[in-house]
Amino acid sequence: MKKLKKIVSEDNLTISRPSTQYSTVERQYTEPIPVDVLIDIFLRVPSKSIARFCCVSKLWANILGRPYFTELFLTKSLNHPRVLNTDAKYSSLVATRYRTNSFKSISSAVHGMSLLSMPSLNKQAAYRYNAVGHSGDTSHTTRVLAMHPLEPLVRFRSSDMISNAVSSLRFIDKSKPITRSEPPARKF
Amino acid sequence: MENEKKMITLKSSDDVTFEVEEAVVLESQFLSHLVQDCPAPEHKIKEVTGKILSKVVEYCEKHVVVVVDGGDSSSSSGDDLKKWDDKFIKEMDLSTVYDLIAAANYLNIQALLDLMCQRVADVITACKDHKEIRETLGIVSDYTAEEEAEVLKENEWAFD
Repeated sequence: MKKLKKIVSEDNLTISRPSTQYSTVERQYTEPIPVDVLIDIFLRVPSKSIARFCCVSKLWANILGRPYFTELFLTKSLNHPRVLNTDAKYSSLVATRYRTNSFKSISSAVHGMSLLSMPSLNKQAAYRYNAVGHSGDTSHTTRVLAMHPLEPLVRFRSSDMISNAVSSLRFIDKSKPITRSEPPARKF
Repeated sequence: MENEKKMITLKSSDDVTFEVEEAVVLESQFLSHLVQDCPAPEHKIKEVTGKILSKVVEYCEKHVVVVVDGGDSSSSSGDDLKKWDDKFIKEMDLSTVYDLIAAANYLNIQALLDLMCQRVADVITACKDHKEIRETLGIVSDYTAEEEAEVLKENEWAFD
């Protein structure tokens, strides 16, 4: 149970791995965290942090942009229903806790996602949030994609990621206006 | 199981040796395979330094003991273990955390890896912006000024 022998130099600083020479003062880590471990770390943070992490380095942005990561992030927690939020101060998709009273469900959940109608969301806001499914004709009702029992994602970079989940929903680039030429939402 | 305690010696890259019970070694998937496949009394772990191996051994010993005692008072020892983990990690600087991640990954000790990943996640979540994350983790940005401005603009909403 106990360490019977422990031969270690008194000065712990002199022990160092030959391949890892770093200075603790400058915090230069020559041996980076492996990508799979980085992903493990990224899965433990809130979605807002993920967006900040994209700004750290290209490597990080690359990892965070992979469909594989998105899928993992989405399926990580099944216990916290979230909805892609449309708070006016945000310019990208944000997911918050699902509040049933604010939304009217239009479809039943498919692969953890469903279409919700949000009476409070006007078209301009929807445009800003680039989360637009098939837009209904009711002038102030826009349908957004909601994550049902799944964890949030900051934003979708490509529709491929969810195409097999809800093919009739389209995520438009925020630089483009909302198109209304989409075919009617498919029956889920 | 308790009447015979097989001891195994682990030797770090810089020849620091640790004599531990076999049960402690079994916390590591990598080492348990190693011990099974090659029943030598001593195993050299070239990838891990003495400083880090001592932490790994400390962690594994603590966790083995708690699991063994767990039959009597599992819930309280579970809480104790969590407290111990918290203390274990609080005393550690980030460079040690980094090295422990590498070691736990190499030795395949999932619980230790989880603990360390959570630590890094907490630290970088607490950082107020990307610059602080870079500073904290010693990451050199590979963005050009224009690229950075663009990616910042895209993710503007995430910065308060």
